Amino acid sequence: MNYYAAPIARLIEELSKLPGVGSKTAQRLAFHILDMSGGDVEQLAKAIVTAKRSIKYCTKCCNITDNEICNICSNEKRDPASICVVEDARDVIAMEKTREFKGLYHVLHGAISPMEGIGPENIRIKELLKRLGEEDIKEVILATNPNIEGEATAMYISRLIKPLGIRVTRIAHGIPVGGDLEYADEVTLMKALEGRREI
Amino acid sequence: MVIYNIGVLILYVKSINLKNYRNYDELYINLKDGINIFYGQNAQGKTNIIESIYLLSTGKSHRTQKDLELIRWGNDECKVKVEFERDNNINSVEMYLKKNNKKQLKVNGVRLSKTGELLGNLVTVIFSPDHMKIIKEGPSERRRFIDIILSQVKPIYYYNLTQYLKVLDQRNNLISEGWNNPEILKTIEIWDEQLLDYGSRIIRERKLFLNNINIMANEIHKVITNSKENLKISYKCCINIDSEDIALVKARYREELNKSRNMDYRRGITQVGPHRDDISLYINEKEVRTFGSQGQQRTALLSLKIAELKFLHAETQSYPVLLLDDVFSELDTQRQKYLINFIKDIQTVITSTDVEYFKNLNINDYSLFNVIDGKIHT
Repeated sequence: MNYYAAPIARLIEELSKLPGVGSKTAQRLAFHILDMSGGDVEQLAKAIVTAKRSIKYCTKCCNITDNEICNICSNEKRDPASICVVEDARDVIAMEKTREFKGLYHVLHGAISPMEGIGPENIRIKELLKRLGEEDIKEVILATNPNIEGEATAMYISRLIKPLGIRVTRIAHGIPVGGDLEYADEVTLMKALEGRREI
Repeated sequence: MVIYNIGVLILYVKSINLKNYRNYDELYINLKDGINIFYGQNAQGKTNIIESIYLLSTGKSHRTQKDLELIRWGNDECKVKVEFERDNNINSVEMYLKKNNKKQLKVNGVRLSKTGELLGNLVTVIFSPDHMKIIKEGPSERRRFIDIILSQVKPIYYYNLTQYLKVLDQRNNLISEGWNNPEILKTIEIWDEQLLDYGSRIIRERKLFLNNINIMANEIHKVITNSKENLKISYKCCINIDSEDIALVKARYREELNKSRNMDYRRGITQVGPHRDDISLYINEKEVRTFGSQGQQRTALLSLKIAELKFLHAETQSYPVLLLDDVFSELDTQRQKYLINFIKDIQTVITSTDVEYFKNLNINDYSLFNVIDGKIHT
């Protein structure tokens, strides 16, 4: 690392900690930053710091927001009786793009995984239960990922909620819409067959 | 008297194309749809041919776990391509390996995202001296034997197995390290639920498979031994149940899993489940592994391998390609004759140091390939 002056080396090192950024990309970004005008660099630095400082978790749904309560939770047009539970804040954006779901969300920030030492208390399940006690909720939709950790998390939550008499549903998985049946792999097709419903 | 009805041959390897693979710099050969014999001295590259076909059948070598060993010494990348005919259609499977890169697999030119998707395209049965491990060594070899066969014909089996192993990993982590996190310990039941779900499907498939293979291997073994020996293959399942009904299997499995939970905690490992399954082979009621002679063990394996071939035929309606790596010469004349009679309509690739004995076996039609130091002379 003696090729670079110490401050540049430090910048490259910090940039390469970002996801999807390797040493080559970090080097490119670092040199680009050095070429930028002083004002632009300060704005970039400021934007990063401000984002980090002003962003907090919504006190209701734990989604990322800059207010006490996020835009979705504070929107009066939304149906407060159903909650969609997701693993990640990015999943909220994915669901929102459907423009179909009119209820509220709850972001867990992870899934149960003993291998990574993540138990139920490490994700926002307690906050969800608190909401269910305080608000008048009719349905909880479990939209965690369809892998074993996501399934385990969904199952764990459903076992906690069922006794409360609230309807618990799990999103379906199967064939992608618009695709041809012949291109679906056997496992997906099998899952779709298992989850078939009467029409 | 059992008559083996050989169906019309519809699956066979047409050509093999190697580039910087093992000791071959570049090779393109056409195979015959019947018997192909690769002969030559030791360490010339005979087995590499069989390995290359098997590699494109399962995505893995039968000799090594390390893909990089397949690249020719001094090179950075290698390519293996096999063309095969199935139901009068020509298909191709290829593998591309490069140092520091993920291996690439293609079926008919389309790149696969998972190795598992390769299974079931070019179906093969391989038989090498190394397979004596199935008879002689621990249960993991025998589970592997079952898993490879079932994965080739049932993609869902392969899926259930990989999911099962992932859940098992999580559960083992939970019971061995969950003690410093009591909240995690409380999630044991949700892991058990998934373990039971995937596990009981695996058990069911294995039960059905072993019922079939037991009958097939028994018939074959009688023919080979002139009805002197009675071969029995039994499934030593992790749970004791007669039914194949998935609900009953699951219920019984649940009982066993719950019963062993306290012991599991103490030992820090999951002790009940298909990951502990085994099969036993008996000849005239005596276990082959402990009481069989070397010859009996070899014959039992031959019966098992031919049963595998018949099972795959029954499941896929076409005979798989048979790969005999250095085993033919180890059989006595009677068994050689039986085998030759059985494979006369199946594409077979044989490696051997000697070809003289083939001339005494009344095979009228076969291709000979002389392998000398990474070059093939026909």
